[in-house]
Amino acid sequence: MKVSELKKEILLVDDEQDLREVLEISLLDMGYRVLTAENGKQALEIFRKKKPLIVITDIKMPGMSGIDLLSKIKNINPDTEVIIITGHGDTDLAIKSLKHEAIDFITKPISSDSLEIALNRANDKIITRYQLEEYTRNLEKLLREKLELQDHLSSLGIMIGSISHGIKGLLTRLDGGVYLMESAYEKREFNEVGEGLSILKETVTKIKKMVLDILYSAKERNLKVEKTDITAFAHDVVKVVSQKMEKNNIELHCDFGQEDIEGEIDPQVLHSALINILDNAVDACISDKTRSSHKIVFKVAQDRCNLIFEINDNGIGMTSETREQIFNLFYSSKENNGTGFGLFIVDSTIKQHNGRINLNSAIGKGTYFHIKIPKKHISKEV
Amino acid sequence: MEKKKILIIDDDTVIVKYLEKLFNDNGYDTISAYDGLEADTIVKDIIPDLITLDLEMPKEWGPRFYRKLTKNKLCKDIPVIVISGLGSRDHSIRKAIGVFGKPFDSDKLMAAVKDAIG
Repeated sequence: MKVSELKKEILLVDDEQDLREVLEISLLDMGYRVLTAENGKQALEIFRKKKPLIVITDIKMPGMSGIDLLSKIKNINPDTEVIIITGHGDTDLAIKSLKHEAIDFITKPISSDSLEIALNRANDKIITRYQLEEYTRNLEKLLREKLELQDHLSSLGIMIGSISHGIKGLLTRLDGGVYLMESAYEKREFNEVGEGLSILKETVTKIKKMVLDILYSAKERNLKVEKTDITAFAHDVVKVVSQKMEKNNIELHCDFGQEDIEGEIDPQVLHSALINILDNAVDACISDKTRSSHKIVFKVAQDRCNLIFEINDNGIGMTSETREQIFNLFYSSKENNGTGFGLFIVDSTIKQHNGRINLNSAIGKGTYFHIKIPKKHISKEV
Repeated sequence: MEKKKILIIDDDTVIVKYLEKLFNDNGYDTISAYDGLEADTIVKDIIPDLITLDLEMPKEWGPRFYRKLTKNKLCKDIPVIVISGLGSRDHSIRKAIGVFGKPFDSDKLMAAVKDAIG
């Protein structure tokens, strides 16, 4: 709201009808909208309903006096400006009204000059107060933006620090692998050459994954949403992970329902997100040594408006601490084996789809992921 | 003559293996710990001739282990070489005889080790 849009409405209170009428005409001439009341009680009723910014009231009225009305109005809304009309010689009352925070007083007979001066004073105060409020609001907004920026910068700092720390460790591993190979080769210890080689391979795979993850997370990718046959899509997802599951003796149970499911998704990114979760489920099963057989259930379903994906494993499970941090960038529960990018990217992907991801997990029981994505995609991108 | 013994402390198993091999090849014995707590237990029984210390480790990180070490009369004079991804001196390993960032230059590391314990 701009200052010029502040409503120019005045409540005029006087028990004398003649005076009310004369004043009303003057005020109308000055461009105000005028509400009138003939006593304090009626004035308060109108005031509560219409909330005018300025009130002009006679000081001597039967029933509620002008001073009483003034203090009641100030009580309801301290920002209201009240102009008091006093009789000639009522100096004491006039001063008393100022003490009760009237903005000004005018004496009878009322000249249009003194009325205008009093009104200008009231308006100036209202405008000043309004501008002050606006400055404060802007200041608060700036402060909030500054804090947000600080947050961004510090997470960027943490990100850079943590990337460089991770990369340094991986480079040292590469050196180690090369050294082990060279040393073993010189001594003709060929099984140790193999060990060096497998360290190199493993490290190169990790570096590759880390670099790709960094590139991916650095790029604010716009979704390429298309109408997708979700059942076929789910079968595609399963293909990628089924081999690893078979190799580790993990039973996969797919429940894709009977009906055709269609939805607007970006198949490429959602594909990698689901694989990420399934892959974690596989890792959780491999890490769990307490059970002899493991099972992962992958369920795809729909309700009226949403696609629902559920992934349930009976692997090692998470502590509540892990559960809370699992979507944070660089948090990894897999010690040296995780990059801390995976679920962070999953979470961003689901959010980009306007969806929600929830999980339940307990140590020794397993982990359950529940993803809900609207079938119809509404783009938030400009 | 008995071989000099180096205690390697690092949470990365591959890096530990690398250092073991490097030191063994250069004629030193090694003993390894994967965090500060493990290293605490080791120095109760065995006094190594030199320690290589990583800073960022789970359970007990490098500086904390170092503080404990300097309070132990038998261990306080063991030369310590920091090998860390953080790679700076401002982590209160004040008396470290060398600070190596990761990845480190193995020739320079060996030179520093030879310099300290022969």
